[in-house]
Amino acid sequence: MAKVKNWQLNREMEYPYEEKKPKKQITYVFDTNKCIACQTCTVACKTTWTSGKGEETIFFNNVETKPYGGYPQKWDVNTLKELNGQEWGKDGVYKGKTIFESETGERVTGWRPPERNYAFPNIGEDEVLGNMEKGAFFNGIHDIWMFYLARICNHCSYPGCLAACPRKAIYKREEDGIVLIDQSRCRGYKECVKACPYKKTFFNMVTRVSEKCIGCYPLIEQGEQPRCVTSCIGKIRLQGFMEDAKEPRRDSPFDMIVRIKKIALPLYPQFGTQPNVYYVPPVHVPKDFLIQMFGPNVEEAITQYRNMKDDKELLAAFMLFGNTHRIIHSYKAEENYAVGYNEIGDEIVRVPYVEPVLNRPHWDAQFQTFRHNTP
Amino acid sequence: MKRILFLVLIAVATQLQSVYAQNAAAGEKTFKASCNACHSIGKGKIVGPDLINVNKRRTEKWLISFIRSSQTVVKSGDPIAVKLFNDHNKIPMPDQKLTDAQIKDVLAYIKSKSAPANPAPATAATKKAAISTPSTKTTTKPVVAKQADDWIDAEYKLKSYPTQQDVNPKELNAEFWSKIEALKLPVSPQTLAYPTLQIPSIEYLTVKSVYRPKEVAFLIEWNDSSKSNEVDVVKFCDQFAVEFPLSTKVIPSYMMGNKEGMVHIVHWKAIWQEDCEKGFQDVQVKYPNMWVDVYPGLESYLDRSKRIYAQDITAVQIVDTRSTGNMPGTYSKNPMSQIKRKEPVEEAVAEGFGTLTTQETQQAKAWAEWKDGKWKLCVVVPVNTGNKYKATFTDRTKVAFALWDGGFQNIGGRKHFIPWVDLFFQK
Repeated sequence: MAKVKNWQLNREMEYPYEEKKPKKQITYVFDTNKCIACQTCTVACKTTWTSGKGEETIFFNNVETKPYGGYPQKWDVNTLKELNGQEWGKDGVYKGKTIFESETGERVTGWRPPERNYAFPNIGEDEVLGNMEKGAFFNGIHDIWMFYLARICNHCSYPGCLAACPRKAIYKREEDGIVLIDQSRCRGYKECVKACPYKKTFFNMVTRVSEKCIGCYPLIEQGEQPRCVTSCIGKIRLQGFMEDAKEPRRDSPFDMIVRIKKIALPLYPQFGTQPNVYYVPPVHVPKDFLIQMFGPNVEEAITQYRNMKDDKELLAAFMLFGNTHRIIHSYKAEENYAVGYNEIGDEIVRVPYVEPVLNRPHWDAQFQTFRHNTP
Repeated sequence: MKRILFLVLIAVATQLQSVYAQNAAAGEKTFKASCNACHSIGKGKIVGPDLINVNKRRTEKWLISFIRSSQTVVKSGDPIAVKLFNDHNKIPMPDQKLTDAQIKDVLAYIKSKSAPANPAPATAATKKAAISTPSTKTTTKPVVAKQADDWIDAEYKLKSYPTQQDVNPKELNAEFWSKIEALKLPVSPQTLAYPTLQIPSIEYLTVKSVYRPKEVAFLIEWNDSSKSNEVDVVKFCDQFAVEFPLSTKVIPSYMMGNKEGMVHIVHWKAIWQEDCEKGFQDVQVKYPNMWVDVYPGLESYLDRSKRIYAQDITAVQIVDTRSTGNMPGTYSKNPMSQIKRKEPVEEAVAEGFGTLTTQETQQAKAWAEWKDGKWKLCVVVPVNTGNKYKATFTDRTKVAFALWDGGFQNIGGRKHFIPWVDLFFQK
């Protein structure tokens, strides 16, 4: 076991391989507050990558309702149970064990879902925590809650799947940090299925080898964002790159959102894999639940998020979501527009902070008719 | 006074030597059971370092703590341990559940093997060998032309008998098998390399063997209360493998071979047996009530008038009539993703953990039957064919076996094994 630095835990941790950073790391930001669980991302991914025989239960992308939903069912609580309690120090240092600091005699602590847990992809949908009391009314704070969590492979910096593969059939690409399973090398031992704490490696029962989200790498190689990102009708997603070895850049939307303003947080950082999908936590959910899910910086993130309307630099980064299929490498907050640039600095998107409003007169002179609001 | 002390020291030293001599024999047994797979004494590096003269390089105290838990020593920052770990590809040496006395016996054995000039341990070792293998010493008449330099007599000897007739693996109850003597071999859980088998469920297997000029056949039987021939995320199948050194010039590690010596492996799986017996075990075979809306691109296969819906389309149909682009493993020509399998076995080569590679020429044959809590399996292995990836030998070689119990989630390294057994070809 080597010692590697996990910045999300603010400490060193054990990992079977030496720390080796890709040239740039694929990174996503998902704003949970904007997700409506329409599953357009799920369908876009499914039809693009996993519509074949044997891939019936494979969802590289899924959207589940928290607290009760999950695919495979109970993936998160079961892995948390394996970790046996996780404690964060006051200094933001994780005091508990990661999946690599196992005392079970296994290389990676993992939970293998029974096949039944793959049978109900959308179980728990829209289910809220608890019942409404008779006579309850909305007074600014919800009595009961739920929220939608869109999930893909986290293309972790320290992947659990890669660590567990006895054949080294899983690799992390040097050029962009995408984690892939070599389809010609895998022998279907399913160690990765057990080891991935996010349960985003899947077993294909026809080809009898495992598969996982490929980060739409053919698109990435052409400078385009993945299918799940560009198909999102709620514009909750942004994909690009981050280099955590370098000083954060104020002109990178990812550095601004994740490292400078710290408004988007990793999902279950305590697993220790240093995941690269960052979530803006839902603003209306009890803090203890959110701390368990996104780590100790939840409250600061929500405060920042609520103040975003007054923070043009941050707002501009969020305006870029879902407005171009090209990958944004840098951006600028202009007076009235958020502007995104590609790798060589060409402008690829320009988004107004306020959509222009056009008031059309009741009488249409061209067509000689009255305009109606027809529902 | 000084003189007395000197004499006392001599006395102690002499006594120590005799203690070493006695314990080396016990140490040899432990060494062969626990260390042999990864370490040699004077034959070079296998997975771990060559242990020749290790007693001169390190203190006994250091060795005991390292053998008991190497990672504890590495983590303590001990510079020698850290360097050792880094020099050996960071493959951690598994913790050994041995007593101080047992470790000391092993060290005594290593010491005895390191200094062959020392007569006392050598005698002990020879004695041990003579006791455990009286029959083979007399039955092996012809001296092997090119005997391995590192040939170590194994604890178990298996005799293979000549046969004139073709061995048809499907005739598991053929008359001639009943005349062959069976050897009972105890199996151990694999705990040397990650991932390990933590709960062993098989105790032993029995094996019979016959040979023809270019074939060796084995009839294997083992108890397995559940027939596991399933394949899915938490379903595992029963498996068996037999392994040979590629040549007898170098005897490789019995654990998947090593860089210095490749191994020839023949691997049988119950799911492949099922594929061959009943046709490809497709999704709708394993889940008869499955239902699916559509497989995009396969709409032309549907026929409502004949009640053919998406879930009725088979993998064989796809492989036969169109691109396998939606079946990534099959498209990448992964041998695991072969839809039309002819034999329930595959032949592979390996030269260390994680290097198992399917061979281009597949000639092995096999058939198996599960009945009353017992698997009976016949494997026919091509040997001495001139192909450099098939086992080559003259009149003796070694074989090792592995078993997987699907009912106990055995897979990959999570298996039961039997280390090298000497295989003698009777005239």
